[in-house]
Amino acid sequence: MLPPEVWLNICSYLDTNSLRAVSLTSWMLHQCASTRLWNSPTRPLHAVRHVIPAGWAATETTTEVIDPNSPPPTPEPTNPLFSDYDRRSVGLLNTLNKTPDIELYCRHFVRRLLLVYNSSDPWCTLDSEFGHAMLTNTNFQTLKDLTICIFGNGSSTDHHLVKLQDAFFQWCYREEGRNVHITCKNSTFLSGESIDKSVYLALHSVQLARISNEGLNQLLMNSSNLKYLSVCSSSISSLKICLRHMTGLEYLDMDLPLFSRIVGIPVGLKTLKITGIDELPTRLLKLVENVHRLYLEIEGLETEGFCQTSLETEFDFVMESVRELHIVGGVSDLVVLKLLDITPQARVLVVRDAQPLSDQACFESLHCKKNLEMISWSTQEESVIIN
Amino acid sequence: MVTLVSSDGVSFNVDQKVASRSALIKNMMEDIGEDAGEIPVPNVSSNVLKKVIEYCTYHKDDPLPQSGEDEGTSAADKKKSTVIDDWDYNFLQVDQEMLFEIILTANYLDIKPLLDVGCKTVANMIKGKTPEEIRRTFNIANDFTPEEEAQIRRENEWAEDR
Repeated sequence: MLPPEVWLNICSYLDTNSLRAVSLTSWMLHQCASTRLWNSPTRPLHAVRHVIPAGWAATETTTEVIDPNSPPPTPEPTNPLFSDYDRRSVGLLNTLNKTPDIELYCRHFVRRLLLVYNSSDPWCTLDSEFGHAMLTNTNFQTLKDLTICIFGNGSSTDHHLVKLQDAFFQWCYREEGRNVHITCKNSTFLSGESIDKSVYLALHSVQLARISNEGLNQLLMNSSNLKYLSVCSSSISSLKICLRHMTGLEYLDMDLPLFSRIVGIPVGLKTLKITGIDELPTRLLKLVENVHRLYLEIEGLETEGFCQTSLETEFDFVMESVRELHIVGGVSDLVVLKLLDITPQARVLVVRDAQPLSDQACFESLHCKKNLEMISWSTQEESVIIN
Repeated sequence: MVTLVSSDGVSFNVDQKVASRSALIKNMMEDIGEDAGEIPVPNVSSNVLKKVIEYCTYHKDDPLPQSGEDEGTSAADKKKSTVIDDWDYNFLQVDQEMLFEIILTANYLDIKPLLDVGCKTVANMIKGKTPEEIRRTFNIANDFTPEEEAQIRRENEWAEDR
């Protein structure tokens, strides 16, 4: 099967009747053909500016259940989705004098929406208007995944951004069970000052937020039912973060600098993912009570935090609740064995990008861990899976 | 000369001018310099790579397309011509699997004229067909629910019989 970007190219050679036929063949082709159909010169009112980026195929059903244990998708700046931004900006030039058919768009197939706001972009007014119109449209029932990416120095005095922000919180308030990804470094989009009581209710329904730590504490104070939380850290901040009151939190993904500033871990947490580790945060791991799945992404293995002495002296506790241990990074079998010692109930061990197993004895000692039902050990060159 | 090595390990010695029809390989050669040596083309099998080299050899003296050409312009919103010249037409008289492989390779190696002519060929195969015929031709699974299909038909009504 050809990828969507090729089908988009093919559709550019088709007449209206053929596009109509193509749009009735499958969801993916429907998206490709619709992009052309809506931009058809015979239908000027449907010149939709915000083309859904290729790859965001609307193949999921609206009843899709989000696995509470699965890690959330992470829209990093390197994500190819964001490469669509420049092209879309160019597209605005052609449609400036046309009205996007928000109503059709909202009733249509859109399950995922990427809104990009750049305060230094002369078209940010249109982005704000478009985002506001879509997110406040009560017919927009199919939207499940919303990504808002804010570039530039958006501030609370930027009334276009405030309008988008207002629409976002209205959307959050309307329905439960949706994913929100927000990247808003250097902006006050989610800052403490801009969150009021109505927003507090809105955030209750959000299941996942990827946010910068601007105003993080204020946001979290207002979000005791947040289910998934994935936070990028800002190295300049020295905030202490309290999560203890977040009784609904089941999934937490933080990098080590931010995780180190946590005071209190929610009792309902099922999955804990810590990235950027150069030393194991033993003080906090001791506080973990009910976590079933522990992900550790390790960097900087040459530090003292991983020397044998510190492993022996620091790891004088056990994490009884952990059933799955996932370790990523160039760890040695010595480190893995130590981590297994403190997670005696682990049934599954997954190690990725590790060093090769040092010798047969170590392999056997892994194999002999009586509770382990599955071991997956992969280096860049090879992988071993033992059931 | 530059040597391209297909996914199944077959080497093809190709004139640099021919290889430069691929923007990907052209950039690679510029980065590496004169001693480019062997360039692996890991996603492309030898029979497909051979065809693509045949195309590039025939078109080696054509002007290179400008980057960003016809993107974001009003012309891009209009239907493009599906006229294919005789040599290209005969070149692409292959089975559908090979046609798709050539298109994927053109996409991967960034050979825009070949990608475009491949897409035109597919577009010509689509013209005049019903949705069911298109599905059969390209082995596409219908993943619509009846309700979704009905809704799309309603929304596309404006486009009928034009």
